Amino acid sequence: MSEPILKVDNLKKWFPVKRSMRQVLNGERTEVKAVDGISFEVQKGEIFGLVGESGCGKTTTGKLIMKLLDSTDGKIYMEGEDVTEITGDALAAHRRKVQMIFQDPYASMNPRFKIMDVLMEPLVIHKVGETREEQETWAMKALEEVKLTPPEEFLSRHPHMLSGGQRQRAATARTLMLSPSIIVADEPVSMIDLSTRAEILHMMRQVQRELGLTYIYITHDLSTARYFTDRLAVMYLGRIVEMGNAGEVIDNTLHPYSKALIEAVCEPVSGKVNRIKEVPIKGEIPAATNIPSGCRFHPRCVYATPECWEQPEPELRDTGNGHMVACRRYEEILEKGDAAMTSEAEF
Amino acid sequence: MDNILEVKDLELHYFTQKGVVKAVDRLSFHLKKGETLGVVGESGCGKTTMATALLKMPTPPGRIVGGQILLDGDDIMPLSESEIRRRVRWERISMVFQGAMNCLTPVYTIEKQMRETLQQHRQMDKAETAERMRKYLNLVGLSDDILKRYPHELSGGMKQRVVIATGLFLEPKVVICDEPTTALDVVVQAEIINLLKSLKEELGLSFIFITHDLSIEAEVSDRIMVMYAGRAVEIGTNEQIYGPQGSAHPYTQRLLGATPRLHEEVKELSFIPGTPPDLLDPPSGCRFHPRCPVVMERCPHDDVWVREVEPEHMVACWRC
Repeated sequence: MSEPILKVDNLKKWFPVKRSMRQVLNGERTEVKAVDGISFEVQKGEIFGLVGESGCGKTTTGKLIMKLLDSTDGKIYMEGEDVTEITGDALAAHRRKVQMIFQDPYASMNPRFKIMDVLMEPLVIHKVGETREEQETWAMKALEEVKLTPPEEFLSRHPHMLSGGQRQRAATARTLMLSPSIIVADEPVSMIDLSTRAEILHMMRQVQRELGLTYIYITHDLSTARYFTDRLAVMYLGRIVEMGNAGEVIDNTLHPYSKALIEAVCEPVSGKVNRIKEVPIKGEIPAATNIPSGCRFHPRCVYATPECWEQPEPELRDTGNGHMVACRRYEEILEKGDAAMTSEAEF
Repeated sequence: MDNILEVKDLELHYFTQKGVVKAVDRLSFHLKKGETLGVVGESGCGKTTMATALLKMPTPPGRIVGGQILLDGDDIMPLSESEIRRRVRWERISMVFQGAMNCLTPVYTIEKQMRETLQQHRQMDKAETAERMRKYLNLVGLSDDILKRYPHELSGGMKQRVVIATGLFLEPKVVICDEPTTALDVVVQAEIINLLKSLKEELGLSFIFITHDLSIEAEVSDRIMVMYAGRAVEIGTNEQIYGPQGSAHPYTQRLLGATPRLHEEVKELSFIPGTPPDLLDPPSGCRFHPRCPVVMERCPHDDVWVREVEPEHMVACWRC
C-alpha cells in the first residue's frame, strides 16, 4: 500500500477539569479523556468514517486533525510529515490542506456576508490569488462544482436566502476554495431535510471523485456511514473499538459494542411494530473522567468476564482483510451471540 | 366506539405579517383505541403544528380556523379554554414535547416539577402525590431516588423518561409524542421506543408518534400518516407503507428511496429534486407537483385530497 495521506498514531486529547482546593492541594488531577489513544491511517481518495455516540470523541478527533486543538500525546502525520507540533507558517499551510464542513449550515456562515464573501474569506485569510478577478473565477468554479448553478445568481445572495441544502453546498464550496486534499465533514447532513440529504451526499461524493479528495466523515448515523464511507471506525469513550470496510463492519460485526449499536438502529421495513427490540448492552455510557479499568466497555458488555477487567486494555488487532477489533474474546462472543439471536423473543 | 380520536377537516393558519400560512390544511384522520399512529414528514410540513392544534394550544400567531376534533366522541372544539384545561388537556390527551432536555426547568428538582402537574389538576395529599410519582417513575424504568435530583444530574435518556412519566401522570387516553427520540443516541433511542411499546400494552394507551425519521416510524407505528406542506398525502397501515408491495404516493416512495439502509449495499440513493415549498406561497393543485417525477397535466390545477384506494389506505394522488 502506498503512503497514507493521513496517519494518526496513538493520539490523545485530555481536557483538564476544574479542581476543588482540596484536589489541588492533594495534587489530584482529573481529566476528561475525550480521545484516549487512537491510531488509524487514511489513504488518498478514501472516505473514512468515524462513528459513535455523542461524547465518544469523534468530533474531538476531527478537530485534532484540523489542528484546531493541540493533542496531549501521540502523533499526526500528513503525507508522511509529522504535523503534531507545527506552528506559524507550517500550521497555516496545514490548514490550507485540511478543510472542514460543519454540522450546522445556519451557524457556520456569517449572516451579513454574501455567498461571494463567504467563499472569498479563506482566500483573504490565506492570501491566495493574485487579483480579485482570479479569486472570483475560483468562486464561480467552486459553486459549479457543488451544483449551485448558475453561480452568478448565488454569489450575490445572503445565507438566509438559501435553503439548508443549498447552504451546505455553499459550505462545501467554501472548503474547496483552497484546493485542500482532506475534508473533515462533521455531521454534514444531520440537519438537512431527509429528501435533500441523499442529494448532498451524492454531490459530496461526486466532488470527491472529480477532485481526488479524501474525506473524514464524522457521524452518529450508521446508515449514512454505510452508504457514504469506504472504511469506518467505531469509537467508544475515546477509543476505536472496531475498524474496517464499511460493509464488513456492519454486516460481520465483531465487537460487542458495535453489535449493540447496529442492533439499535431502526430500519424502514414493515413487521417490526409488535416486537420489543433486544439491544445487547446494559447501563449508560460512563463519564469520560472515570474510565473503567481493563476493557473500557466491560461494565456495559453483556458478555464480560473477569478476564475483561483484570487484563490490560485490549489493543486493536487485525482479524484479516484489514478488519480490526479491540476485543480479546470476540470469537467466543460471536458464537454465543449467534445462539442468543435465534432465541429472540416475540410478544 | 373504535376511534378514540377523530379529526375532521382540521385547519390551522398562522397569521403572519407576510401573509397567511396554511400550516395545517384540511387534515382528517382518526386514531383507534390502543394503536400508535405515526405522523411523518420533513421539517415545516405541519406535524408539530397539528399536535398543538389537538391540544387546542396553537402557538401565536396561529389560530385554529376550522374543523372538528372528536375525543371519544365529544367535539372539543366548542369548549372554552378553562374547560379544556380542566377536562381535556393532560387529563385525556397529553403531549411529550420535542427535546426533553429543554422541557425541564434546570433550577427545580424533578420532584417539584412533577408535583406541579398534580397540584394543578388533582386535590391530593402529600402521601398520595408521592405514591403516584413513585408509581409512574417505576413504570418508565426509573428509581424514585431521582426525585431529589436536578435535571442536569440526569442523562438525556433519563430526562426523556421523566418527561414521559409526567405526560402519563393524569392517566390520559391519548399521548402525543413529538420527536421523543431525536436528540438521543441510538441505544437510548431503542430503549425509549421499547418503553413506549410496553406502556401501550400495559396501560392500553393510544399514541400519536411524530417524527421526521421514517425508519423509527416503521418500528413504532401501527398506522402511518405522511404529511407534506400541511396536508396528508398518504395514510396507511405499517404494512401498506413499508411492506414489500411499496407505498402508493410518489412522495412517500421517494422519501423511502432517499433513506439509507443499514444492511443493504446501496450504490446510489434516490433523492427528491427541489426543496419543500414555502407555505406563504404554496404551489397550486397538488402541493407536491413541482417536485413530483410522475406529474400529470391536471396536477398543477386540481387540488387533491386523500381518498381511500383500498381498505385502510388513503392516498392523495391523481394517479392512484
